[in-house]
Amino acid sequence: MEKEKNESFEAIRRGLLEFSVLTVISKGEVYSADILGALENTEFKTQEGTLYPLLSKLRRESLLDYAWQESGTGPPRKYYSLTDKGKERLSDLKKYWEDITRTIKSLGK
Amino acid sequence: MNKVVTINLNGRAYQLEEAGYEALRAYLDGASANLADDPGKAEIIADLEQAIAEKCDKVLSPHKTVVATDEVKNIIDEMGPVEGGSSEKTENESARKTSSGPRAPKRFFLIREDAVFAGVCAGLAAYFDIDVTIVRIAFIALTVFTGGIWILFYIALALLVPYADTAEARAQAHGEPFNAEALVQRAKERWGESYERVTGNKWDDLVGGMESKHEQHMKWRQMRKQQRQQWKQQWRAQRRQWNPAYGLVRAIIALVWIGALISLITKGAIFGVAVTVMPIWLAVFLLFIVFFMVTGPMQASQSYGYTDPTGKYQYHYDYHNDPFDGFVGVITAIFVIVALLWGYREVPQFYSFVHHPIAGIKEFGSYIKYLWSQR
Repeated sequence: MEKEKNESFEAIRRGLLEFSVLTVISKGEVYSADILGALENTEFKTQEGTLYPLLSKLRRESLLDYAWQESGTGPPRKYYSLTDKGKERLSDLKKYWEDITRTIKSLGK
Repeated sequence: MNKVVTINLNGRAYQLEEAGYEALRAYLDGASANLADDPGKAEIIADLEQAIAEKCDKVLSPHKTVVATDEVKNIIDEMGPVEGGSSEKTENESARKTSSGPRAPKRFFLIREDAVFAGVCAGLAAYFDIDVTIVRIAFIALTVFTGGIWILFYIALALLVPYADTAEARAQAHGEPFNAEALVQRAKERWGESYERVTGNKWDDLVGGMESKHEQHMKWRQMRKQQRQQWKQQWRAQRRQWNPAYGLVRAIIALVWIGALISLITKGAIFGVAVTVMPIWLAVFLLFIVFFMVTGPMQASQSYGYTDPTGKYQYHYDYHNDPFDGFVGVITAIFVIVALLWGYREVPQFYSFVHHPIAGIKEFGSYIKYLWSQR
């Protein structure tokens, strides 16, 4: 049952993944493992194989940017942050999301 | 005791058990195939390698310097499938994954390798995924039942259906998945072969011989890079040669031809000019021959040959860019069958020819002689 539910909601989750990733990054400079960690116990649990292509796409759309930071162990890491355009997109998405949920609620009445 | 391969992940060396190395290589090759159209491909691959390196660090310690095969497999599972950049592609990808037994769209091809005569039965057997012997028996039975007319169907297919002479066509003939991943896998097998032929060394020696593992790996990568570039160039050269006007011209010819055929069968005339010098069925037959005489050389001019890295001559015909290939094949096959059945029912000469071929040929010969003497 749980699995069935997961599969039929897959499209919704896929569509909202970008939204959720932008939201996580909006908290400040984050490392890709931080993003995965933040999503870990949510509906948006994601693997590197999906996240990295998405991050690359968002960066190409100049919604986010990264800076190299030295790490104590191992090579330097990429820390992602939202650009102004990215912040704008996120607030648009939030507003749109609120509109949509309101619409759905009103449709049910 | 297992062989160990040293790899370079984003500038740091890691030691993997050989089977783990193979799995990881397949994963990264698959990733780079799925990202082929993604402009950020190099960056994503570097990020993925980085993440794999970090996961390797987690399982390593000063007393454990080799990543075991199972650990590599766990890492690959954690990483998850690498999906292409565009959302459209991602959906296709997941659709293909969830459907049981992914199979590529099949096409009907003649198969030279298993052929007794032209490979029609072998092609049908591959297409319907049944034993070729059953198809052959069915063909012989149908030939007997139809008093020989089925042979004409066989000949029509042999003339109309192309041979599966490219790797792509062969894969389609058998319905094997033809995606980038499978292609990479098959290509790799061929690289191994060609490497052995060119250098005289065993492929396995290159992968795990006496030289430094790192050096070997770098050499292997370099060779692959060169091969990949070579292929890309070939693909581009082929793409460029395709002429879009050809499709249009061929479509016009096909339409004119169909018009002529319909008017010939229904009115006994081609565009108002009545056909009186020969029976209609012969005119239909000649019309087919004319059609293939016109389109045959055109089709040949759109095919290209080149010599592949192993020195074999490859013949390539771009089926995908030719929307009328399948159309013309199906339409002509239908017309051939209809024309033959019509001839069988309506033309006494043809009927008697089918039932008494030898006498029929003699009769046909005397008919031609008669036509000749009438001039």
